[in-house]
Amino acid sequence: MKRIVLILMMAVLSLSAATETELQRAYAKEFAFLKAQKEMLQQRLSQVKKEDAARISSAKKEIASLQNDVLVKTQTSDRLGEQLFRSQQNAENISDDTALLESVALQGQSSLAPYGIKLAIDKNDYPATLNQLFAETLKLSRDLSSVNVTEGSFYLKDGTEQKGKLVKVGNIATYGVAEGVSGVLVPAGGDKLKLWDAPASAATATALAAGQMPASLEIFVYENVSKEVEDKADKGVMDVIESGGIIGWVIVVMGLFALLLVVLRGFFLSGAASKTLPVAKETLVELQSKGVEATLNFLKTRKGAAARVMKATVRNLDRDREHVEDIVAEAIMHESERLDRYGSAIMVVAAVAPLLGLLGTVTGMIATFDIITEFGTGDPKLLSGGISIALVTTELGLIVAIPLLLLGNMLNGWAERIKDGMEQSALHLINEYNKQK
Amino acid sequence: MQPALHNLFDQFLVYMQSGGFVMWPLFVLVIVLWYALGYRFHAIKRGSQKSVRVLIRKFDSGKREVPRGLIDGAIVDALQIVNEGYRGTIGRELIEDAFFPYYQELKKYRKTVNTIVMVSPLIGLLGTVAGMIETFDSLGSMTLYSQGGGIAGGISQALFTTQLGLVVAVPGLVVGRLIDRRSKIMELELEQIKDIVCSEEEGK
Repeated sequence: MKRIVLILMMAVLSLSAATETELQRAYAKEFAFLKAQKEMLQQRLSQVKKEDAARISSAKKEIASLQNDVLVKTQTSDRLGEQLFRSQQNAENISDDTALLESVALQGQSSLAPYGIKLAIDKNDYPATLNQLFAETLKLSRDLSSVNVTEGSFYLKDGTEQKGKLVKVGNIATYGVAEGVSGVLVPAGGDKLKLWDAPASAATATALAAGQMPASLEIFVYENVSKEVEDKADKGVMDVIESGGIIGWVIVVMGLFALLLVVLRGFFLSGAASKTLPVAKETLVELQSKGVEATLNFLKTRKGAAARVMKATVRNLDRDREHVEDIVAEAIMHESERLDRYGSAIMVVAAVAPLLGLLGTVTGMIATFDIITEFGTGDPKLLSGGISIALVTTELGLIVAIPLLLLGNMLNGWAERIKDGMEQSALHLINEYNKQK
Repeated sequence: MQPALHNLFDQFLVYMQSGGFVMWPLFVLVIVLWYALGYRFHAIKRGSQKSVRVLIRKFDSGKREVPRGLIDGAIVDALQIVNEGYRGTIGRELIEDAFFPYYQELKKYRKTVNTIVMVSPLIGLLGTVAGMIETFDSLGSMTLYSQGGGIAGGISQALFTTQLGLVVAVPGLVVGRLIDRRSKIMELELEQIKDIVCSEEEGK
């Protein structure tokens, strides 16, 4: 195997030695060709570079001139745009002003219409229209701010129409003067006027009609004559209670009941109080002069709480001191059942009445809010109805509670004093008896 | 001087009228309240300012004889009973008997004052409610500017009554409490007199 490789190598070496010169020549030829080509290419390259540089510089110049051009044109466009915007704004302002003028003119027209002044709106000459409007308004306001006397008619309280003089104080108040009746007038609806229930205003009306200025003005100021003003009806007690609803009635009935109890208790107490001191004194005199048996007989003829306490005391006079005191205390406790009768019931009513009033208030407020959800807040009359119901119950509650608190406390104090007095008299009796012994 | 006084009275009348119907009851209550307070203040005069022990010794030894106040009077009464020869339990009972008017004097009008102090803010509230009713009524009947009433009248009524109610109640409460405190102290002193007089006599 080694031998074969060696032979092959030898063969190759011998072959290469034979072709070396041929190869060198071929390489030299090729090299010369390539060199020539390289030079040619380098020449062309430098030429191309020169051409390019020239082209680039010319293009740059062109770009610069174009940019200048663009700048100039942009500036022009900006200026024009601004001018356009301004003129647009001006146009808008003018249309706004026109609308404003028109609305002022229309407003003036409609405001003056009720006073019989017609105003023509000239759409091409607003200044003239406005001048006319202001002139008319000035004249009207001078008319309205003075006191005028005109012939006219107004309604009386009973509904009959009465002809007479109308003294108009501007456009906010009117007095009517006719034979026999005169006074301040209020709107009756539909541009009519009626007599208001204010007797003192008659003097004002006649004085104004005669051109004098009274010292004090009885006046009713109204906004316009188309809306009727209701007469304020004098509210009776029943109406007030009625407007409080069921809770109002409950409070009133409770209050009346408690008042009855107060009267009854006052009656009891005055009976007991008037007897206590005289009975005690007489018993003492009797005991000191005649002895226990006679006193007991005397007490049997007497009636009332004080007499019963005295009887219990005298009967047990000879027992020991603490025992007698217990008996006296027990006897007074027994009587206090009668003396304290209704006391707590009265105080309970006095405490509950304001609470019921509060309940009525809450109920009324709920009703008010129900009305608001149903009809909205537009009509103050609807709202004020509910609110005044709410307040009426509070008022009734307080009206019931305050006198009951006062009277109930007074009666309690009175009962306390009577009991103290009875105890004192009984103990005094015992002391005097023991002193005598 | 006279016209100024007259003016003041007129202002007072205007004030009372602008408050509506609850002002006069309230005014009467003020007078009753201050009468009661004045009575109590006068009634609970102690007399000599020294302590009860010192006073008893003085009256007992005859250095002082004329009582100048409630406590002095009580001491004189107690000593009189003791000197009459009633001692021990009986003496104590007799003294208690004799002190009854003093206790009653100390308690007099206490309840009246407390009741008025309690009630007058309620009356003010009543006036407030009445004023609010008037306001809402005039809203309802559209008589907003009518004379002697309307919205402004109702609101001023509401405010004036509350104001007067509080003006009545607050000083009444403060002064009433002060007097209450003094009367409680004096009740304790009456007890002390009883104890001292009886125990000293038993010790003799």
